[in-house]
Amino acid sequence: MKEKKDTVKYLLIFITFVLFFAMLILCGMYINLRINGISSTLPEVPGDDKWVVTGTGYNSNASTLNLVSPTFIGYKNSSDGMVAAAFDNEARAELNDKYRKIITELLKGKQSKRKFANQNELIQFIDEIKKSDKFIYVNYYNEIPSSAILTDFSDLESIYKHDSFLIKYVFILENDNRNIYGVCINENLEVYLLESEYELLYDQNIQLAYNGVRGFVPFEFASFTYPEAVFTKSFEADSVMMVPSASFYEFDPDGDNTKELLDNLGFNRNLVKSFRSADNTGISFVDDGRELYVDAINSKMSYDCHNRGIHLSEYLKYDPKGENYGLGDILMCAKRFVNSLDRLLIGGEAYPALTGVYTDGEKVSVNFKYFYNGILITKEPYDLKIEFASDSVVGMEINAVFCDSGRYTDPVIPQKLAMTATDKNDMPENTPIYYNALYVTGTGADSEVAWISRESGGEN
Amino acid sequence: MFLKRVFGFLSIAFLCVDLLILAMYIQTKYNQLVLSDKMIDNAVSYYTSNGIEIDTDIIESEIPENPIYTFSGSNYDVADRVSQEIASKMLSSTDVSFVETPDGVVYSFSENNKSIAAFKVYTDGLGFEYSLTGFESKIEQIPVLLFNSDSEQASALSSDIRKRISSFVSCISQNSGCEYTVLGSLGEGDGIYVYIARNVYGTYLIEDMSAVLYFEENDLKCVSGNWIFPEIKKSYFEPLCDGLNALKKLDEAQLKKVISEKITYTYRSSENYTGYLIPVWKIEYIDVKGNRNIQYIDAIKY
Repeated sequence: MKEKKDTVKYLLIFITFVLFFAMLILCGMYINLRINGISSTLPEVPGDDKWVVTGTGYNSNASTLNLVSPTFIGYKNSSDGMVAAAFDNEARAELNDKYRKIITELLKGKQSKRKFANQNELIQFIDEIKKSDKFIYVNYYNEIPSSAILTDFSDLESIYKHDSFLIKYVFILENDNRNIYGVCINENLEVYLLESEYELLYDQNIQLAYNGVRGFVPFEFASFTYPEAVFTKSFEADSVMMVPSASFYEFDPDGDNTKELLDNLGFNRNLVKSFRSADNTGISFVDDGRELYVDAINSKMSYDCHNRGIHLSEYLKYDPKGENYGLGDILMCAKRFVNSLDRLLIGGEAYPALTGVYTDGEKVSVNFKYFYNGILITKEPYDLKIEFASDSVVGMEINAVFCDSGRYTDPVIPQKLAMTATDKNDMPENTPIYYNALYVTGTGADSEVAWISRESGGEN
Repeated sequence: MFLKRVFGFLSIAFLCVDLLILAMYIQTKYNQLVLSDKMIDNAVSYYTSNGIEIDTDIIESEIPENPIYTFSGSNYDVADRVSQEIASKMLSSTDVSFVETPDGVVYSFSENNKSIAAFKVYTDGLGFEYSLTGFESKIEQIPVLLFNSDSEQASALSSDIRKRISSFVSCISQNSGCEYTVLGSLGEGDGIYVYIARNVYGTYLIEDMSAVLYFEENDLKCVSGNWIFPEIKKSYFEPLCDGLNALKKLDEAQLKKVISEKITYTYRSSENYTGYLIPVWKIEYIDVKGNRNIQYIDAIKY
């Protein structure tokens, strides 16, 4: 009898332990599913082989980087209302592709500056556009020259002839004849109308395929003159990992990567001399008036040609038929220059997108910032700057950061909610305020998304 | 008695917690990894309104979670072991010799000093050939499209033939079981060609990783094809795109009718001698010119 009781007791103890361990395993599986969004516990493909599964290598220049990329892209239609692609590659890529095709056709067509009798008429015009039944809406980080958009999609001749104007916001709309037209608005609230040279019908179903597909989130326009948009609901954003490129990139003059880099920057690899500081934190490559300096501590690179710049024709392989190179040529050169750089040094999986073109009368600076699916990855005023003077590339600065997609997705709080907490009292009246998202992260750690607001051209 | 009560209580408590977590897990998984009916209906009505024929059943509602498989080394590295297996399982030969050729290695199997079969492994790629001595293979001359993919005919293969296929596949698939799919067969009676594909696991096969076997009177006479000999291991996981997004990557202007979409595997190799078996979406459709097409769409999100 006692033996039987003992057997029952031991059986109960055994069952208790089995159920306890089952609980631990189930907890682990559940937490993994919630955090990673997957039920698999297998590891990711190692970084070295990532190119095998994605078809794109980090250090492969095969995939051409575009010069411009919107930070916000959304649409409005009767069934979905106003929704925008969240920070998700799949959702953005599709809509972006459609938008690019349309804007290219429109920029190649007729452009006219819309005149307004007074400020009220202008505000009313923008307000009516915002209330249109359907549109595609795009917002760039800063205002950019329209020719920069064309460099991504068009043949060289049309860029060369293009009369550039600045663009910050773009609306693609339908007119009474069901044709597509575009409205571009810049920081000074100048309005440009774009019309195609030939009939370009507004596709009624242009966005219907996105109905209910993940990655699209409702948005609304912030309640002031500028058509700045904010997300009204929460969503999941991918996390990223960031490391300074200098922590793993060996600037070895005999290494293949460094040789290629020096070649692209016009160094004679047979004559170039390299110097390292005693503590190995500064590396300098010098060759007859050209210098590339790497600050390994801050992971910054600066390149100066002094008086021996690289002529634009080296990159463009054409000359402007006896005339000076124009802005379109400079932008095309910047695009080719960026594409010649190793992606390990310029953001990795994040991409450098044009944020502005500035001039002091002598030099033209073309600035880029790194974005990962539309999210900023650094707080720097610019991550990559290329300087042009006398039809030559004369300098460059790089914030050498490598960014890779992280394992997790994090829910972000609704942007609208976050923006109500912004103190606008410090900002001057009538100053446009731009809204963006920024990854905040510790070095090498997975990141979180923060909403930021900034004054025109500034950072916050 | 007291202990019994305590453990009895704990058992019930843990059981309840287990069931609760399991229910939460299933519900979360369903919410995260299944496309809603509304999404699928919307997509179908969108395609239909654009004049593209598609059934709701075609779109996979579950977001796939197929792992990435890998293998190390080449067929050449394990060719010795494979030839020993063929000698012991397929032939009554114990005498195996080999000769290196410029494009690979040829193993000869002999019995009583008389050559009975040969097995060739190519160093470039994953190709191989096997044939009985004196048998002239005509496999290369048979276009695979001629194979009857009627599943009834494929399942009508005799059990002897099936056994021999399994036996041969187990020889050339090191430690990977003998998972394969019969894609079709050709011929009847004395001479039968059978077209098979290598599976990664379950029913998921590797595209273009196939072999044709020729049988006469239920005897395997020759084999030719591409096969992964080394062991395949479940290694990595990357999030995959759903069937709806896969469809959207097709050029809609070229689509007339979507016939099917399913996950299958493709082979890619890295620079460090690791072979990757990667899930891809295989979409079969009819284009506007009436041609039947197959398109492979990368399933891994990037």
